[in-house]
Amino acid sequence: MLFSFSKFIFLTFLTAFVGLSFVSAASVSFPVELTVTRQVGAEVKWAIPEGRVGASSTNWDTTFYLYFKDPGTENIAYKMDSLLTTTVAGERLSPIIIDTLPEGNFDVYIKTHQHLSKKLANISIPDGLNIFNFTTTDNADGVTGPVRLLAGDISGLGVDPNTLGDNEINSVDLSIMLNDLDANDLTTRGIRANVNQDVVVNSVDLSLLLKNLDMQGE
Amino acid sequence: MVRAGIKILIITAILTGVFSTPVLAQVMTSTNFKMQQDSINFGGGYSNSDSFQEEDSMGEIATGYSSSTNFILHAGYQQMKTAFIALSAPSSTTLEPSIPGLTGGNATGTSYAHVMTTNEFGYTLQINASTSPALQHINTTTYYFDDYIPVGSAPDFVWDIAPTTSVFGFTPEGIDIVSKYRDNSGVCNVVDGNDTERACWGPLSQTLETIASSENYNDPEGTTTTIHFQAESGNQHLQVSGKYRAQITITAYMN
Repeated sequence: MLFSFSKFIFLTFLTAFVGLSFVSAASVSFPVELTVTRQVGAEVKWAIPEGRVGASSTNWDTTFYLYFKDPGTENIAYKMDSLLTTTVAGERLSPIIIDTLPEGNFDVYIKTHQHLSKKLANISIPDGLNIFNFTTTDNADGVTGPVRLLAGDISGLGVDPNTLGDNEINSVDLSIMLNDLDANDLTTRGIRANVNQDVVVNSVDLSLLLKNLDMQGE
Repeated sequence: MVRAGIKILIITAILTGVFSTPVLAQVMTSTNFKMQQDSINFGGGYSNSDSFQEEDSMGEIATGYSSSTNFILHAGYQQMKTAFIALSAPSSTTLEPSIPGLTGGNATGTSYAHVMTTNEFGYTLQINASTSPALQHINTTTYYFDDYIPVGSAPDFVWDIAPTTSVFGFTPEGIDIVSKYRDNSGVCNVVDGNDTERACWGPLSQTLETIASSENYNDPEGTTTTIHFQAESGNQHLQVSGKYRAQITITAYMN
């Protein structure tokens, strides 16, 4: 009996102190965080003015700005603060960087120095590059549609978005056109009333304006 | 005899289950004292001579240092008594400034790992990320920053990315950083090299990466290893907006 008790004591301590060993290490886990801000890049392909002389894609340039409205409230969510120009092909392919447009769908507008605004309705605007095609009503990608910018809004100083016309074709525009009637415009881009961008302000320009008299931008 | 043997076996089995479970939080206490560690055996204690001091305990077996691929073991009362390791690090790190998703940009942030150990064999410090790639959008794994890819096998002395990509990487700094992150002012992975600031960039991965090591104890001051993080999105790359997160783990263990 005493012999078996000694064995019991020995085995107990043997097991206990071998078990009292441990791994010596320490670890800490923490997050590293970064914020990436939303940016939208807007390009125009295409915005085509009506009535321009010459072959296609040779005389379609305009001075313009873009603005975005909430489709529900019609509040302006973003408006460019300076003017840019499209090419003679009616394109602006250098991205216009917009930092402050929230996520969502918007009505997208283009307003030029000679034309009423044109709208693309309820367009989804994701992060990154967005190409706007004002020749269609659904912003179809890569297709030159039949929609054209309506000529005749030539009021205002035309030096910034706030003076690039009043988005109506009315007697103010008509009086400006009549004042410039028969004026030569050898550069073809020197007189805003020269809406077809030939070398003179004449009855062709006047007829385009009169066609659209009393109309308002979209 | 057989019955006695069976009794020993049963009692030993029961007591193994009771006594071999480490109860690390319990110590003997009195009103005035707390005994952090103790050893019940048949001999030992403190002794000294003109040239030496010794503290020993007799009665334990299978003691000392051993290791495997994933573990290091210090077994026995004397191992417990003399060595410990402590690690501290910030609770979070934010990379700044925010990066614009289309025009791109660069963001940096700095963290640290402070290690203090009494282990005479020193310590090793490792880092890893919980996901691959390490830095991912918090709402979806679809969007992420690629793990930094050095040009060669060594970390890049200078941070460099293609404009069509976005990447996330890190570099450690401190007196104990390993040779991989040391440089000669132009190339990394230099034995006994310099520790040029914000140089020698590499990726974080789920695999443990050793970034610092020492063969000596460093108590009471300890040693701080600084860790710089960097993320960049190129100006020809679209990075979807939102918050991105990498969960980083730093581990320090005694050698």
